[in-house]
Amino acid sequence: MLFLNQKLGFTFVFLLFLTGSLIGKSIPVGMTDPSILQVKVTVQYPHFIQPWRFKNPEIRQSTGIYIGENRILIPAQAVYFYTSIEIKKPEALKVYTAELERLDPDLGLAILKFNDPNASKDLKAVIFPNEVFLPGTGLVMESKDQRNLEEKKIRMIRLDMDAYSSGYVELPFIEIQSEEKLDGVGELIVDATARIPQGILYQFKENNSGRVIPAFSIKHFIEGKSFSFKGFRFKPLIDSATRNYYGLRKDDLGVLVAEIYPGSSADGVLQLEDVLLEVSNFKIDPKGYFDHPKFGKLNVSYLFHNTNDIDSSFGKKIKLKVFRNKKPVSLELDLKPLPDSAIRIPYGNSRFQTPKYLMLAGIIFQELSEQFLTEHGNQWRNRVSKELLYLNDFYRIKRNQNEGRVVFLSQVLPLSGNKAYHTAHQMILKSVNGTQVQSLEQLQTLVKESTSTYIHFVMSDGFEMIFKKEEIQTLNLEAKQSFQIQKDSNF
Amino acid sequence: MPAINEKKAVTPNMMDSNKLMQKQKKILLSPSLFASTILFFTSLFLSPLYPEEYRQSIDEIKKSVVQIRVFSQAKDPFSPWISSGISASTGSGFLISKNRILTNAHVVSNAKFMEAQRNNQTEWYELKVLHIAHDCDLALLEVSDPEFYTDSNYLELGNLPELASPVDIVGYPIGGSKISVSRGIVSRIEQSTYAHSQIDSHLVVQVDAAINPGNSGGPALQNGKVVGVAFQASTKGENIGYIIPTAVIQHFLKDIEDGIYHGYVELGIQTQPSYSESHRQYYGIPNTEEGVFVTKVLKKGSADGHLKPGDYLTAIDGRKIGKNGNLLESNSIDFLEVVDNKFAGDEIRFDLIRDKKKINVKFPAKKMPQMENQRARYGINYDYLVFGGLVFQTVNRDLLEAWSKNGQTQGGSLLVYRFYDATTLSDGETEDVVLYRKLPHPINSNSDFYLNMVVDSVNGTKVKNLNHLKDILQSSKEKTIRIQFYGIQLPMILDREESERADIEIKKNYHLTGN
Repeated sequence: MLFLNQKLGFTFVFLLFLTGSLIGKSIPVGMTDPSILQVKVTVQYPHFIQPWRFKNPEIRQSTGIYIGENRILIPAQAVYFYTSIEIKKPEALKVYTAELERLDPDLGLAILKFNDPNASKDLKAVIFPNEVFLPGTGLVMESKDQRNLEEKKIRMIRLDMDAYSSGYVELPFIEIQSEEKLDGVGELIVDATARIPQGILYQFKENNSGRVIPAFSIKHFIEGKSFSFKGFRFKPLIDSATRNYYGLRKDDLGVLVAEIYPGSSADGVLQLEDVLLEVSNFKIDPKGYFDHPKFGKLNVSYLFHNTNDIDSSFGKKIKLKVFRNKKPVSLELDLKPLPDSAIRIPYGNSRFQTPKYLMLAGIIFQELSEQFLTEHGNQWRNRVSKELLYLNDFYRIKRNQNEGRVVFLSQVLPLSGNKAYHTAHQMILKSVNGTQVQSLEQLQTLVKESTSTYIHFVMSDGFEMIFKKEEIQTLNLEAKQSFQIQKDSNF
Repeated sequence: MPAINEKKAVTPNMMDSNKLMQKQKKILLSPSLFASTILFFTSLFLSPLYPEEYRQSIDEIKKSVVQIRVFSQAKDPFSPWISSGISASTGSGFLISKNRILTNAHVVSNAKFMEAQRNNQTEWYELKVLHIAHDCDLALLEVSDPEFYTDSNYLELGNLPELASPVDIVGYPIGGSKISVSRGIVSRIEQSTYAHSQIDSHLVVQVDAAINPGNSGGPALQNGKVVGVAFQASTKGENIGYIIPTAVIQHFLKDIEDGIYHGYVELGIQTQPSYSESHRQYYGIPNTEEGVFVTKVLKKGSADGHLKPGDYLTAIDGRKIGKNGNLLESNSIDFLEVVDNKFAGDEIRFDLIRDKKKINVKFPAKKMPQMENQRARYGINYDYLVFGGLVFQTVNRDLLEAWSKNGQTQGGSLLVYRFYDATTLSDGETEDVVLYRKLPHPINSNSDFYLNMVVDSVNGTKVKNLNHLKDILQSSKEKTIRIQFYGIQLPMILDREESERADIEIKKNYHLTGN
């Protein structure tokens, strides 16, 4: 038995040596590598409907991967609104604390840093390579409770592009399948043969399929680089009537530019109804795919958003060929990250943004976010104001730079001084003293700096609220005392 | 203090018992009063008026109440070329004149064949609808065979019943063939939404008696007179029923006097209460004046062009309006009830304060066209358009309900928003047209992106309604049809000839008839 084990060990080391030499820096992760950590994060989410409050603390368990220099990689979902982070090494009883160092909501990953500089003693850093082996089999490395590391098998199927749960940018993910039950909370995935890190599992569904963040995206994030966004959305162009209308003679090329984000990479370069024919000399098919030499058919977003060193567009100009007004045009596009200013109604979870509020005369004003709407329970689409729902579905991104945030009256805190308006809720604020309102900050300034006796609010449906300027402070004071609210605003 | 008020209403004579005794003693000591008291009580015992009258009236009532059997078939708004199955149901009704039967509109909606039977009759007699009013859930019917009316009686209309007074609900509930009488107490009188049309709001009388299926259309009686028509039950509380009061019945009967039912008029404004002192001062409203502020004037409503946002309405037809919008004289009736009782062409007069000046405004009452699509509708053929297998229809309540039952709600918030806010979004002249489904064919395989979107324009022409869309598509000579939808920047492109060719095939394959 002993002899057999020794022989296998030798073969294993030899194989590692061989694969290691083939792919450069990649270092295999051994079965007992103490680099897979258990992370317990206590979080306290803000209350989007009553934004002066926080919810009860909750505990989120996830896997952390030690990446060297006292740093741990963890899914971003686990650390949003954290109050305390505890990290435990496998087979150890001691608990270490850590703080958040960096987070990327588009990739859904965060880096933590141990508070104790000696905490990383005995830990071996996991190095994420620039290469993924597809298709192939992989192993999921997870550390649960007080037990040793466990390994489960997965099949890595293909590479595809999609926006992650809180992301705007479509990024590559590896689609996996497994017969075993997995959590999808940041487990390390290594290649089954060479044990080279392949990525981090961030989602696993009941239909036995899941998604892995590929190693090259993780490497890009660890190196401190940002993620660029192409700045436009497109629509497939597969029916002959539309193709003929845009003057396309060939059947096999082009997608239609359907939306351009103001201030983004595409702003000023592409135009609505441009037909995108080629990107970086790759021909784009009518469904928006191109042929990647290694990964096969891939969504065109890969050519803008990929972070694989070999074909990374990072820091490069992207060559485009479009059909505009029935004529071919060659363009160049500089990649920039998605500008925050283009977002009108924040999408997905809050991306670490505490909901803002401004109280005026005991009336709460907020800026519309998807999180505010989804806080109304499973049936939120039936429960919330139909106008707010419509805006959230159709106007998340600004259509021009002049469009502001959607400021709305979320609720009235009932006081005798505002009793005329107690029934008002979820109404969009149109103007204050005749000026259109585009943000909470602007609303605050307008009221503060107004020289008129009255402050006159008009809602989008014509409902009006009028207060004397001095009443606003008095009523706020009363509301704060009566409803135990600390501040008039939280920004 | 509503709880105390309610208690007083039920037990109005509760007093201190000692004081009551002393008061009675004083009365008895006075000789003339004593004699009259004796006379009063004697007369009471000699002539037990109410019980006898009531007992007599039960037989007469039986002669006037009718059981109605209806076989109906509706159109499916989601597949407007298909008729639904045939269903049978029963209801009640009553004679209000020698040969006229009053019932609920919902009893006879979508009817293909109707018959009626009176108590102790063995024969069923064929019925026909003379007038139907879906906005107030009433219908007037007639049996052509005079035999049906032999030994019949008709009921007279009474007044609005008092709170806490008893009413008898008569009808044929739960399919029974024998007449049923159940007694309830009037527990509330208010303006409320009529479930049949789902949008119209009129006066209702709430009673604590069960109103079951089959009861609908039957009379609610007090002292032998009709005080309402039983029509709907509460879904929240048990044993809570609602009756349509006689004011609404009389409005219906008066409306049809010229042989046509015209329907209710709409004031077409939105208002808000005026409790806020600052709000009142801003608009220069004197402290002595009560009323409500106009916040929105809807297009094509009666008030369009006559009232303005910011107007402060103090009186309607000389009747003062309170800060909460109720009439000051009663403080329980919304001032809109005054408009509800009017007919098209009747004058509406407002006293109001505009730009700090007291003025009077008068204008004729009229119907508001955009209300039609807001209502649940019955007995109609839904108009639709199929173009390249894409199905278009006017946005209306029936379609929206059918659409949501079919689970076709993906991306539909635009449609829902435009429907629910239609009265404020609409100009009263145009109607929203929606691409709500497709009949799959290779030609439309790429159109899912546009499903449930409302049409804005076609080849640059703003679409006014479904007929306008049909006209544009039929008269267009252009090869390409470019349809722009609300909220979407990219147009949908269709090839006119290809679409028309595909339609022939689609209509055959999907068994579309008509249109």
